[in-house]
Amino acid sequence: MPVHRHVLRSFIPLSLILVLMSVVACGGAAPAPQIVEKEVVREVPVEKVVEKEVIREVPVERIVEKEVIKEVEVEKEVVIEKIVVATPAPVATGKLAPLPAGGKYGGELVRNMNPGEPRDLDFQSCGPGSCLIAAAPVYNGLLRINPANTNEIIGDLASTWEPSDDGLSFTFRLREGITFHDGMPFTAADVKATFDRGLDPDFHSTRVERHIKKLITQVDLIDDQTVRFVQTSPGLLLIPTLASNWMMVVPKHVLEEEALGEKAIGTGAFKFVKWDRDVELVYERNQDYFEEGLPFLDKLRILQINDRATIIGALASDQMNMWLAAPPRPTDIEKVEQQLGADKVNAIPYPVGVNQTFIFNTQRPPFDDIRVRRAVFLALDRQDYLDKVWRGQGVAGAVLDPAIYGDVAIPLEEVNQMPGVRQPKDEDLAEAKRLMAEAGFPDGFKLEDNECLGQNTAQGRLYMEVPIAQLRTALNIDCDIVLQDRPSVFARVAEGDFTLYGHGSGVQFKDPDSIFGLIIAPDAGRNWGRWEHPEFTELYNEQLNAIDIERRRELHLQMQKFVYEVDTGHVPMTWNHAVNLVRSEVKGWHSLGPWFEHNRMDRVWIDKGN
Amino acid sequence: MYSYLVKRGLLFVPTALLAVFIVFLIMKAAPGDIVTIMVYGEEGGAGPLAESKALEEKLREEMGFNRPLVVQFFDWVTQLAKGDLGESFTQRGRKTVTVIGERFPRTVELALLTIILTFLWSIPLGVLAATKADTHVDRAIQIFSVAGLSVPNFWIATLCLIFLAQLVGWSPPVGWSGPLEDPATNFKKMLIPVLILAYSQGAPLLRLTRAQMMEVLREDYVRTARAKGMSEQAVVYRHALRNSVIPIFTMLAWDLGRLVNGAVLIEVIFVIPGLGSLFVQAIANRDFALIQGLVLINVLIMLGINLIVDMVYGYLDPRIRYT
Repeated sequence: MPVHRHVLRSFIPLSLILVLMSVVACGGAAPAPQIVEKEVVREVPVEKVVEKEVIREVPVERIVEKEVIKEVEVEKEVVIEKIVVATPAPVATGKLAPLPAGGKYGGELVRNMNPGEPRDLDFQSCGPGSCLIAAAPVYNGLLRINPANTNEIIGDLASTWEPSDDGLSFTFRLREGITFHDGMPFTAADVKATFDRGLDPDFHSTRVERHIKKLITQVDLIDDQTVRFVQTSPGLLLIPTLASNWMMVVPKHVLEEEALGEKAIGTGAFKFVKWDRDVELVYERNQDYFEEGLPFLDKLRILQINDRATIIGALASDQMNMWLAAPPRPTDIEKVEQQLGADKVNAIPYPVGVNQTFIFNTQRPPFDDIRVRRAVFLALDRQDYLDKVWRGQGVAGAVLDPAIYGDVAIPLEEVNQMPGVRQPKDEDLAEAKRLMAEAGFPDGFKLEDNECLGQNTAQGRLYMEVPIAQLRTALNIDCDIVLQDRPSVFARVAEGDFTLYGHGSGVQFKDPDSIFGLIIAPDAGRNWGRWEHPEFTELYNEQLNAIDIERRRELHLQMQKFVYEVDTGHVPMTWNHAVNLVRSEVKGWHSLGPWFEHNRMDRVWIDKGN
Repeated sequence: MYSYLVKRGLLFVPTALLAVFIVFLIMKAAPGDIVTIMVYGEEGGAGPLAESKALEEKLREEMGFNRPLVVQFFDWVTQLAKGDLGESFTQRGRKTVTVIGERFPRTVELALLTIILTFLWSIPLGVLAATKADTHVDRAIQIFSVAGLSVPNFWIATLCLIFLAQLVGWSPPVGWSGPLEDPATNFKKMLIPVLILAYSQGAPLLRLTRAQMMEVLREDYVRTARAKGMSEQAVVYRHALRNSVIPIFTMLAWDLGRLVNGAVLIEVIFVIPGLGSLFVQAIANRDFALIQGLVLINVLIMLGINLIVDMVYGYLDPRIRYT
């Protein structure tokens, strides 16, 4: 056979590979410790001896007689007393989260991991949420969200903390006698080294930019057990930020070796054993954990399973105990319940902490006109969006999800009466049409090709298709949606190369700034539409530096109302809620919402007896 | 023969480099890279916009993405000459060679087991269908093979998992154990995926075998062999099958090449961390170093298999000679 035919033949696989590749490629500080007097109404049980004459009829053999007895009665008395509270810092308490009752020791717990495995074990610079899931069992932060009460921040490695007089710094006193998994003692130097790394101008990660450099100017070592954080300006944001799992403390000596990516050595309830990439992470009990009696489990495994049928099979065949990440759909829950029996598995609902928004590019016409933005804001039907995108599971139209932010969020009953959210939509639609006519678009408009952008995932597609369909019907606003993969979309939105875009942003710590500072604030990293309003900016900056809790809450409420009543660059569509599937043998686990706290598994045990 | 092998071997290098270069250009032409994901796309990410832009530039500078494309590619080739495929971005701090080397044996195990099973079931059934053409046996085999051709293997895999769990409360082990490390667990792990892959790979091979055999069985020399009084078994296997085997072998080898390059969906569904799922991750994250390394490996595998096939042709058909 002539050689040239072989040459040609050798190009056949090459050509096929190239075709395949082508297809793929297209495809304040702390509060000045002000002393305030507050009138507090408290219910105080008071034991009070009351003499009462009680007349009872007692059946006595054929004789009815009257009896006088004395009774001691405990009654509640409402007293008004004046107490002194320090504001505005959250209560600095040395208490640990309560030890759950009835915990059993031993056993192994197996759960799943978020899709998209960690790039490495350096959670300070590793982006995906899976990095935190991997790190959570190993490390502790200075502060944590109380697993028994998510509205409370308690000490973790820190026993107490207090703001300075000028309100610019917080001083943390650390718990004593804690050691890292490799036996080295935990001291304030480790805390300083952890945060100094984030403050190093040569160290970059988005998390550091947002959480450390923005808030902290320096960390001072006072003594071995005391450390002081100096803030960029007075404010309260440091406390919830430090309670986030992104802010866990790593050993100084590991940082010095530059080995944080490969070694996971912390103070946490579990020691890291091994990581078989794309398969599983394995942990074992830390016998020297500083919280006495914890953890209960001997072993913890986190499986990297991305396929739903595989997860269902693993749950049903007793290879996995919990389906936490990449939450199950209603049909998945039905399948698991069918296979295991409804009594063998618990569906635990939780707020996912992802806010889906519809974003205008305010630098491009016609969305540079507040009237057009307002018209779209009013016309969009959030409830319809919730039903179609999330099968009705979640909250429609809220700027802040009350299930996550508590009383800082406008209550849902009030949200449902807000412009744009209220039903029926007749009044809002009439106003939207009036505004469109006033802006010069009585008959609507069609955007140019390539102006409406979405991600080419199932959810990314819906984030755009549903609102565009609504706008087409309501205001005759139309566009052809371009769906692209994540890197392409991020490259375009970062350059402002879009007119309309739908996105979901996850929140990472328990403070409204976790969403305002992420998407709405003038300098927010995801304020891709470059929206800015001087009044909103004023409110935002004031809350950032507010040191009075009540004032700050008031400002947060005003900011939310501003979005409903005046203008925004991100239309809040929904906050989706989902469920975790937990087999009945798993005890002591509570969903703590979007916070990574519940990934620590320090208070969970296995009890197959039930 | 040796000079032929040398010539073919020398062609591997430009072919592989050209393939990698074209893929490199295509990936670079697409908007976005790992830096855009790191700066804007990650959970908890997105620092202040202005800082994000600066960070984006700095990271691009550090990773060398700001240099001209030709320089970037030339650097990669220079590294390659030293046996280094660069560092992965998605598995930060790890050499691409290490990452691929970790996955390669797993995929090879899956591919080889699949090919062996495919060979064992599809060729005998194809021969049987041809020799029993237009009988109930033939029709039953055809229905079975058409189902294998038409039903996507990932769907069969999903159904298998659900039904196995529902009916017998069993599913393949979710962790990974190598065949030398824990043979029993490895067997349990590989059993279902290999069966499914062998079914979907074997169906077209069965049909090809049947068609080839039917054609050959009508040839004069087969009739002559029968007329000479040879047993039917000798006629079918020594004369007919041997003369049908070249296209069948070519297809089997092509299947092996595809499998070694990764059975993506099956790997994902059965949690087999092989090259297929790695390729998907690399593309999704624009991990250029990893993509280039994988493309290079894939091209070399395909070229190597092609060369082996050509050599085997000479054995199967003595009339074929290479110079």
